[in-house]
Amino acid sequence: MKRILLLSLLCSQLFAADPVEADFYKITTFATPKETAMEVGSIDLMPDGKLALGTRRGEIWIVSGAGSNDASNVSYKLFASGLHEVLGIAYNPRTRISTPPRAMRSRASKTLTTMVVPMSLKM
Amino acid sequence: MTRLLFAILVTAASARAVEPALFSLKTMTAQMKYDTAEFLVQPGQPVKITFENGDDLPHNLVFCQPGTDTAAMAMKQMEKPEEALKRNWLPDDTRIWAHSKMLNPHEKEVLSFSAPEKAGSYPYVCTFPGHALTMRGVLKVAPVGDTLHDLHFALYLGNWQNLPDFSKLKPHREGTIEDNLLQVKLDDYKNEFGVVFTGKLLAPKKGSYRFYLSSDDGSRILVDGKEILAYDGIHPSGDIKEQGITLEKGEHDFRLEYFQGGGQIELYAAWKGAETQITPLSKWLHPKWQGGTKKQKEFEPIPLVVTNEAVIYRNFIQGAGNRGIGVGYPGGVNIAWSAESMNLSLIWRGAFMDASRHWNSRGGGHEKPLGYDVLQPTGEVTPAFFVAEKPDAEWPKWDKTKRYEGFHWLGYSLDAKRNPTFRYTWQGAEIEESFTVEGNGNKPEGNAKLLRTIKVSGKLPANAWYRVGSGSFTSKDGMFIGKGPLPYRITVNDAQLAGQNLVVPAKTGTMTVTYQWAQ
Repeated sequence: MKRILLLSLLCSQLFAADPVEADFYKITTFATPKETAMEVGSIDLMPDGKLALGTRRGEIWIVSGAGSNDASNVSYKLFASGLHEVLGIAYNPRTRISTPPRAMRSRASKTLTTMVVPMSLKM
Repeated sequence: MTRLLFAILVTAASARAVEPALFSLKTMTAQMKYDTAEFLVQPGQPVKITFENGDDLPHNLVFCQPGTDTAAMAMKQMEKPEEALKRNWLPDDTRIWAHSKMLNPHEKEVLSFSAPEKAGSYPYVCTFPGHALTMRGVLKVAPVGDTLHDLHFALYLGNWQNLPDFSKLKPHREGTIEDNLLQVKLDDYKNEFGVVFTGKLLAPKKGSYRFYLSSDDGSRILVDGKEILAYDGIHPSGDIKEQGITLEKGEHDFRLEYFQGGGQIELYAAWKGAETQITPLSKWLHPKWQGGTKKQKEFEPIPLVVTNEAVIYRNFIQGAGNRGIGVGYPGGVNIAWSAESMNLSLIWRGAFMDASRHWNSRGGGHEKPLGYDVLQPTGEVTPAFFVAEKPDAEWPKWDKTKRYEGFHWLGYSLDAKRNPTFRYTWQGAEIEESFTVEGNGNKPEGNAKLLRTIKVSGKLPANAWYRVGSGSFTSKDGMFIGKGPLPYRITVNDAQLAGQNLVVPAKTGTMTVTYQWAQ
């Protein structure tokens, strides 16, 4: 009897709780690649609908299916690695992706063409 | 009779009173870690540890014999959890030789014991279920090294910005130091003086030894007349500099030169052998010398492992500036390229880099190479190309506020093995540099070599030189042997030794430079 009372008390408290983020946005949880820490510092949406993510660990990942409601449709491809903290990223029709590395950001932000991404992987 | 005498001597030696070692050890809140990763004590030394549980979970402190798999030992308790619970999670294991109670959150206990007589690494661990994997450390038992003998000092007067050539000066006062510890006595002068300390140091056997130095202002250490560590100039005592060398068994001449400009007076020197702990040779102890404990590093190490292709790490690398590009090649040889000076900055053997400093928190500061035998063939962040009438000219020095003129960075491209080719222009000529590795740098006897290929196209200015090494070299059979605490060899065609510069006349075409550690 006591236990039931406690449970109903908890429930009523839950309904009266402050609104949370999910009350306003639909939140879908994605799994990220296990081999890295996906600490994303920059994002750009590309014309084909794929996402380009730049990470603190100097990687650029291309995400397919990021707009899907089903998390299992999402796939990741490593586009570049060995960069210095990808703090900014922009799609560039000529060179595909431009990024200013950390130590050069002030200079690169003006032109966005200090392009040192090795194009070893096709998108 | 001889044996009896020996026995008496040994007893007398071990009976020599050793000061008790006092430590404090805390558990860290919500991290499943002790705050101290290592304690250093002498064999048989009395030890007193104040163990404080600052965490919100129960923890204990259990010392085991060397080689104990502490995680497996703690895990084994889960086979009979009821019994283990009765023992308050202290394993019933003969390898345990000292332990605390299971402390509740915010309890404290003082443990007193004598350190084992046998030198070795004795693990300590929390044996509460699930804690042993991360909550552990090592009690290191090692004897202290010898200190200096016959320590003399000579005091000189003068106002210097750098260490002078003391051999040309006349000492103001000389004498011996009774307790044989390096110290600056302030009887007569507080500013503008220098001291040369000379004494003997006994290496108990042939092997590697390491020296430590810090001072305010400048100082250097010479062993058997050779400089092994220098910390010259006017500066606060800052970091502790260190350098390893190989010493033959027996007595060695030790010389430490020191000078004081004005302000603070500090001098710290220490040494250690393969089997002895860091032993101060000075009276003053540096605040960064932990006095026998090693606190947990702020972050867990993230070593970057090189397997079958090159690994690139662009970051702030100590000795390669802010635009450092570290490359770990398969074969245990690593380089740091500087995109500020467009030149090779560092070469080292063994492990590549630890990324934990840069991949945690704000990621500030310069990280040093993780491996060993670090070579810096041409000084810190200086360019290779330079125009000078004579090759013994002084090369440009790094000015952190400026760019080197005439250079333009073009980036790098990767081949199938992800080996980078660095590209840049200088005075209109286009240059490509790439590296290959021979031998095995993971073993000191692995005969590791770094081959550097430089391809120049376009027109170069007149009197252009390419510097491959700086410092003192001797030349033998077409090789140049860099002198210093870490000898290495440079092989290159058409090289000229000019003053402190080892240079090649810069030409259009391809040339190869080989860097190799002396065996």
